[in-house]
Amino acid sequence: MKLPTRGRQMGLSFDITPLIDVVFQLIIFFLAATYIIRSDASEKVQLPKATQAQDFPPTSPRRWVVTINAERVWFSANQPTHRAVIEQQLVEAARTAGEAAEIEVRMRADASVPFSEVEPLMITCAKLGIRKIGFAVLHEAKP
Amino acid sequence: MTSMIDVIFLLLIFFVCASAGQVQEGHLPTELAPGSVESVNPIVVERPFGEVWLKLHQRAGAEPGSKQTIVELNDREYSEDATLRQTLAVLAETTPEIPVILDIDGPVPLGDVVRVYDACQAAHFQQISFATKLTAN
Repeated sequence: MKLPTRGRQMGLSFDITPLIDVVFQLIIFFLAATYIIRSDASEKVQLPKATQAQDFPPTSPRRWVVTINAERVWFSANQPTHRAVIEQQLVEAARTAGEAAEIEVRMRADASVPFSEVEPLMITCAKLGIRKIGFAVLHEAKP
Repeated sequence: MTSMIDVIFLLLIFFVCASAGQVQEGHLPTELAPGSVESVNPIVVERPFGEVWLKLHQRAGAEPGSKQTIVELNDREYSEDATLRQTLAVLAETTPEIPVILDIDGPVPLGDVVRVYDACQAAHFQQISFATKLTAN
């Protein structure tokens, strides 16, 4: 008996669109999550309020964000550290950058932190020729 | 097309949720003058209008154990923020080029320092400086 043979007209085909969707979502999720975790502003502090607060300027490649919380713990790059270490890092940065005036230091300090805690860093910056210093503040309505 | 809409919606929801809890921070810039560090032999600069010294120190508050920051300007004390702002605004209107120097005691909280610095900036003074203690090194 001769069996009718049917040639394979269509091979197996996979719809890879959902796979691409999932992969893209995972990539974007991890990128966004990493950005949020590594953000310098992740340490909670009660910032001072100011009426003359400006919107945060465009990110400078030589920006240093230093956070001091209410317990007077210093953070740099979201890691607890000591003031002496930060000052040493600034000295190195000013030396390698060549132009210290390009470096920008932003202080995210709790409103309750005494000025004596912040003052030495300001003096160090002035000695190194770092001119751009800023305080992170919360916007307050003008009186 | 359906998949793309799914992805966009998910991204939208993710970023809305992620940004909902974030507080918008502002920036109060301070431009340090070059060579502003104290020197044993200070350079004498002629100041035709003199200087305004704002001294910040702490005093025992009304409640037991509490402390209050007092701002002293020309031997007059200011504890009210509004009065200080008004005085500074009047002063800056007549002579905005007069240098303002903040002499801050160590225990004064940074919140009060920023408040006074903000008041000076709001009054549009052209030069606001921080006084530092002369140390051996």
